[in-house]
Order: sequence, then C-alpha cells, then structure tokens
Amino acid sequence: MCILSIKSAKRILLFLALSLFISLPCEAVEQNVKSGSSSFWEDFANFFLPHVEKRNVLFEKQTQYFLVTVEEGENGWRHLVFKPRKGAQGIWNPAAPDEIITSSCKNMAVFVQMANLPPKRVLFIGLGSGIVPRFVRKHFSETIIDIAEIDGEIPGIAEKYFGFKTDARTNIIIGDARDYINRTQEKYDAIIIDAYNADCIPFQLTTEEFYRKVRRALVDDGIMNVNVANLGKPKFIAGELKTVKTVFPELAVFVCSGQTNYMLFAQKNRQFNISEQKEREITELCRQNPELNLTEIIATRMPEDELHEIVYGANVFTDDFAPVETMK
Amino acid sequence: MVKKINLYAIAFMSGFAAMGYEILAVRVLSPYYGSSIYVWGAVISVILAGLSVGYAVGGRIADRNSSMTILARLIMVPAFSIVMFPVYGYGVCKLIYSLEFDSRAGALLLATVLFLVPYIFIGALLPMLVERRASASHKIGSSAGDVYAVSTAGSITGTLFTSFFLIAWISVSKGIVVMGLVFVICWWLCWIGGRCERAGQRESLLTDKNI
Repeated sequence: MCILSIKSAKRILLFLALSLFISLPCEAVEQNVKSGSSSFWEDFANFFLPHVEKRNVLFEKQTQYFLVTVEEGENGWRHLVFKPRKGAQGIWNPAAPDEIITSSCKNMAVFVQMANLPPKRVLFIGLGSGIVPRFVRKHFSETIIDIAEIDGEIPGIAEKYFGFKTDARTNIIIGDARDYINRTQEKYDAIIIDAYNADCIPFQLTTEEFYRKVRRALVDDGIMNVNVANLGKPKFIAGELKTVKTVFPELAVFVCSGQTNYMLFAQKNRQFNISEQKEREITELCRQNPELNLTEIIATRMPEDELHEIVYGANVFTDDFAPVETMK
Repeated sequence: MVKKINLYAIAFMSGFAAMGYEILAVRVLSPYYGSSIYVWGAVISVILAGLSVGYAVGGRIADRNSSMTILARLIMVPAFSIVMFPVYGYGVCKLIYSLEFDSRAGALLLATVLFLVPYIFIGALLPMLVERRASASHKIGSSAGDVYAVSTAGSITGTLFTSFFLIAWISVSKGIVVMGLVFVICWWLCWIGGRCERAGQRESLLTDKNI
C-alpha cells in the first residue's frame, strides 16, 4: 500500500523547493555580513532583497550582559553593537580617529563644553565606544574623568577597537551606575548619561530619586546631558522628560536628526542660554572638528510648548513605580 | 474533594506569591545596589537557600504533625512579614546600604536579612502539603508530584503575571502587599481547614464516648 499518494509527494517536493529557494538567499545574506565574500546566491539575494550594509564582524563576545559585536562597515567605520543587527552604540572611523560621527555623540561633545572650562571632573554613565570621553581627554588633559560602566568587558573593547585610551586621570568604575551615584561624594562639572539600549532600560536610572542624586552630584552650575534613544516608546519618552523636568526645571530637549535620539540637557540653576563668550569658547574648541556645529545643534531644540504637550499627563518615574520595561 | 481543592489552592497560591515576591524583591534592591547580575544572583540564591532549608524543616514538622492548624501557623510568618514589608523593608534597605559594604556583599546581606526567613517558612509548606495528600491517597510519589506540579504552575503564573502586568499597573510596595495578601488568603484557607479538622475530631471523640 502506498503511504504517500503522488499528489502528496508532489506537494511535499514543491514545499521543499520553495523553502530552499527562500532560505538559501537569506543564509547567503547572513554569511555575507560575516565574511564579506560573494557568491551567486549572495548576488541573487542582494538583487531581490532590501540592501543590507555589508559589515565584517571584527570581534564578537557574549559578556555578562550583552552579545557584543564590533562590526566594520563598507567604508571602514567600526560599529559597536550590543545585539546583532540592532543600532550601533557607537561608530568610529579609524582613518579619522578624532571625527565624531553620530548625532548623539556630537550633541554630547558640544554640550559638555557648556560646563566651566576646563572642567575639573566629569562623570560618564555608560562608556559605549568611549568617543566622548576621548574628545574630553583630547581637549582637557587635566580633567579627571570618571566612567561608570556595568559591563566589565566594554572598556577593553573600546580600547582595542575604538581608540579609547585610559590614563592616570581616567577612573573606570565597573558596576551599576545607580550604586555609584548613591555613594559618591564627588562634585562634577558635567555628568553625561548614555546608558539605555533597545533591550534594557534600567529603571533605577530613570527615576526622580536618581536624577535628584545626579543634581546633588553636580557643582552649582554643572551640566547634565542624557541620551534617550527613540526606541519607539512615546509613553516612556514622555515619562522620562517629565521626570527629568521635575528635578531639572532648566531642562532643554534637543532632537537628533530623524528623531533617533532625544538629548536632555540641563545646567543647574541656569536656564539654557549660550553667551557670546561661551559660543566663542565652543567654536574655538571645535575648530578641529568641523562636524561639530553649535548652530546646527541649537536649531534642533524642541520648542517649549511642544515639550509641555509631550509631558502633559505623563507619570513621573519613581523608584517605587517605574514600569519602563512595559511602557510603549 | 473539598480538602483536595483546598490543598491544591494553597499550593498554587503559595507558588504564585513566592515568585511574584521574588520578582519584586529585585526591584526593591535595584535603587540601592543596581540591577547588575550580582543583585539578581544574590536575590535568587538567598531565596533558593530559604526554600532549601524550609523543605528540610517542613519535612520534619510534617512527620510529627501536618494538621491545618500547624500549616496556618507556618503561613502566618510570610503572610505577616510580606504584608508589612512597606513598613520596615525600606528602612532596612537604607540601614544596610549605609554600612557601605562592597556591592556584592551588601546585596547578599540585604537579600538575606529581608528574604531568607519568609522563604524558609514558604519552603516548609510544600512537604506539609505533600504529607497531607499522601496520608489521604496513600500514594507518596504521585502526591509529591502533584503538589509540586501545582505549586510550580502557580510559580509560573506568578512570575508572568508580576513581570508582564503587575509591575505596569501598581507600585512595587503595593505589589508586595498584594503578594502578602495572597498568603493571607492561604492562611485563611488553612484556618478554615483547621476548624473543620478540629470539629471532625471532636465529633469522633463524642462518637467514641457514646459507644
């Protein structure tokens, strides 16, 4: 007795052929990302499927917290990625090591100069690829830089692949930044916070209590800058803006191009204002970085009425209630 | 049949509240020590240690007396301590954090002080429930399997419900009170069961006297 009819056998064969037809190109694209070589199926895939930038994976490691990859794009730029095929945490061009590429880093590099110059002490929460600490160290050799980073592998990766350098005045504190900010007695001229990624928003770094401790850790006219990536969660963004504004009434929000990031800037006890002298200082410092354009960055400021509209009705996050993981 | 449902209800709810409390426990510690892998490790290991000790102690208690009255007394400890957590818990957090231990040691110490004892008593419940079930059915293997299966089903439900929904609906402190109230309901079920048991014992004593 035949177990399979001829009709069923034909259907099974057709299904297998279709599966092969679809899966081989996808596999080819994935291999392409890894190897950079090309074959018939890869060219076939690239013709029919949306173009995916080819990146070589220079380094890959499962750390305690992330699957970290360092990927090199077609133009030689290096991307620090915390989850395969997700947005880069940092981008660096080895051929132009002082160039700052991403809009969020440009914003942070410019606004760190709003602090008293030269800053005595700067705190970075989240190291990433170390682009902005590198910029600070390049221009201010005497500044003490403290970096709170939860993942012990990241500093080594930043040093090896992104031109980040440590020195006697750079202190890397491995651990949760909330613990550090709770305990520290230091006063900072600038606190730069860049600690969220697509899969992990640590709630204890989003709350009113946290930002009160940040404010306490700033000198009288110290500056704070927070990078809040646009993860497609408008309620979270609204809550975060309201929380920060509750603690820092001086808040000014800047929106990076394409609304990829919201940069939350505040100078303690001063409304956002750039004096002529400060403008001259910043322009002079950025002379070697033509990509840092103060005028362009200021133009991205969110109008106050738009900010009020966003935060209206939003909840302030507290240590007791900050459901950031479930917010959309 | 009612006794069986009662027993499984207690197993399910205790599993539910035990895991819900664990999820919320990390959120209690996070504003102090962060949410690093060490904090998770400290909380999970302390809770497992409590359950482990509880299983051993509960088994020995069950060998002597697995009445509903004793069960009710055991459940009173986690019920009371978890419901009252907002009163003492955050004060204990601030006190231990102020001792400025290393983050790992501090998280472990804080988790031990806050969670070890309630979880010992939570762990003691399961052997008691297994003993009661086995006494009724005379089947030790399936009694143990069924009680643990129902309790684990409660744990799964508690984990998903707390992390997917409860955290989004109410604050951490209120969520902990909710978990405490679940243990209070368990205590109430044991108390009712205990009253029925005592009533049944009095009735059989009277019957013996009449004979």
